[in-house]
Amino acid sequence: MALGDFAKLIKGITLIAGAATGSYWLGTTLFPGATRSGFESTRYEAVPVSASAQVAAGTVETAPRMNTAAATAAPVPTPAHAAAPAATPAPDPAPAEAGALPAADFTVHTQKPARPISDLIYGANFHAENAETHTTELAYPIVRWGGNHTSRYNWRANIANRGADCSSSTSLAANTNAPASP
Amino acid sequence: MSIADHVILANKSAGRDVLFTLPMLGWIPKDGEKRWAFSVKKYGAQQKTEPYDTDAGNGLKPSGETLTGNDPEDTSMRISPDWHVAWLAHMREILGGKTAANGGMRFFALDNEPDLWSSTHRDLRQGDAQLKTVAVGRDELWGRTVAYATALKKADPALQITGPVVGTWCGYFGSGEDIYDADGDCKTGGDRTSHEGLPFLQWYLRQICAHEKKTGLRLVDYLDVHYYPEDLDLRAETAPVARDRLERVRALYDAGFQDPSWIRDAVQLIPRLRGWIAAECPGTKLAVTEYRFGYENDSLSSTLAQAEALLVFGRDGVDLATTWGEIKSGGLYEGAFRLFLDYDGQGANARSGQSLRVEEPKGVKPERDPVLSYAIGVEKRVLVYLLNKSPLPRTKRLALDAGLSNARQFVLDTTGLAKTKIEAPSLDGRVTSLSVSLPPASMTLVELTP
Repeated sequence: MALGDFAKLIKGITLIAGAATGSYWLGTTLFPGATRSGFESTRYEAVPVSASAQVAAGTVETAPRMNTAAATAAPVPTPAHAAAPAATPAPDPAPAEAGALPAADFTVHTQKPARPISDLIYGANFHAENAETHTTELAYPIVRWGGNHTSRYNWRANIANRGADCSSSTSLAANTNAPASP
Repeated sequence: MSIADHVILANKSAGRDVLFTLPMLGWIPKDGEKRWAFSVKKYGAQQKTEPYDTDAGNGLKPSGETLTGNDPEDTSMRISPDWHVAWLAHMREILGGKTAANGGMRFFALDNEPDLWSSTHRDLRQGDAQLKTVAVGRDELWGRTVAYATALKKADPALQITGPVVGTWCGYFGSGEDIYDADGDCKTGGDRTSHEGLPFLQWYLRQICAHEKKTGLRLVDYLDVHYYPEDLDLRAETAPVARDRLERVRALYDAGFQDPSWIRDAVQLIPRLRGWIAAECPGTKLAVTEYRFGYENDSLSSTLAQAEALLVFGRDGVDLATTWGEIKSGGLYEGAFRLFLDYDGQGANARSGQSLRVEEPKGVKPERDPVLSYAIGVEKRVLVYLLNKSPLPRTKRLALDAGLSNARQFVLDTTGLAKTKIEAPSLDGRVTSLSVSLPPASMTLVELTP
């Protein structure tokens, strides 16, 4: 990070200290050095179940652990057991009981799903009138055809009227029947 | 091909379902000609006219006063539910005879934003002698709902119908009449007082179940609303706006989040609506068919807010949702959906998922922690989504109650959605804890398999 950037960061922190809401979002514009470079590879520090107590004791949030060249040159300390030979069997191969999980920021309970998720939440609206920019072709489970023009669409004549909605090219004259095309 | 047929065929052939809006205003354009509601020749001089059609006015007198008393038949003709029954038959025909039960058109919405009809479609409302009020009251809206939904369900009993598709926070509480009456407060109004004093959506739900009890027919399957954050710049990407935007996702679920807009209340959209459903008409599903936290396709905060909204919808039990606004192919914004629909570019997705509980240490205040976590189980895969709202990198330790063997990681940030390398995870089926580095302002997806 260049000195100038660092100055901006400090400025950002000062700003945030005075902000009434939130305390963490500086915004990328105030933090131009914050990109993914340096994060292309994350090292997963695999922790066997049996080592949970040590992990709990050793879990201290410090600098992010990166596996960049710099990080390799000056390795961040990792729990000793993480470097143990793969051949060494862990004494307790069974999944840990809920009460015996290692201390963590987030504990995911995989055994009792809370509820099924409807696939239909991953939907989008259809925007034919902006076809040049609305180009997504992902496998959305559902697409809605809606909006003001669909309140007044004649399917036999293929014509619509979007009322007083001024977002169309017929904006100056309100409430105009305008032929539709795909 | 008509635009409607194109929407149906293009999406159905691509395997996408369609939620199709049907008009319920009672008027549609009367023919294929270009026609306008406020003719200068007929109704006098107006503030603005169309450049190439100086007869087509904007419905405002030169003084700015609203032009009233126009004739809806200048542009439109009356229709009844028969119109829709014929339309359904046409849709069935273009889909090779398929009905809702066997892959045909299944989802239909009862029009769009009736709370705003008296302004959006005032040319039809103010000149219709058959109407008692220009804005829509509860009795009128419910009368139309019964007429249209009954005809549709008789034509195809397997249809899934959504309503009332209200457009605004005010529309959750007040009918169009309540919103446009003189007192300036959408939570009170004569129409509400004369209908058990209930918020509009709660009253509407009560009618759905009362009607079902009486007739055996379920008219509306999904309670359908729109949600847009109020007093939020949906275009800018300055640091304060970006921070505000990411906070606003909390309006979807957090009873402790006082909306910073004029609303001055906790929106708590999903619990509020699910509470009304539970109280009045259990079994009704919940649909949010327009919402967006920011429009720009290259806006990182809009993209992250969109991705988090999808996670909240899944976790908190929304049944159907469709985002509003354009999505560019390959754009940053599309990445918010790609995280769930095709995160590795090879078709891996979160479909048929189960929401998994994520526990945080006691005493953590989510509103003060810039990292939020969500998890989805898909058969034996576990997908953990970690949102880092901070412009600083973070490291978080994850624990699972099951052993893991394989991990892949994908990151969505300013550079788009990409797989990131994992070095020697040495996961051997016994590992239950790992430490994850989160880039600044990003969403990280960790895919774990046993």
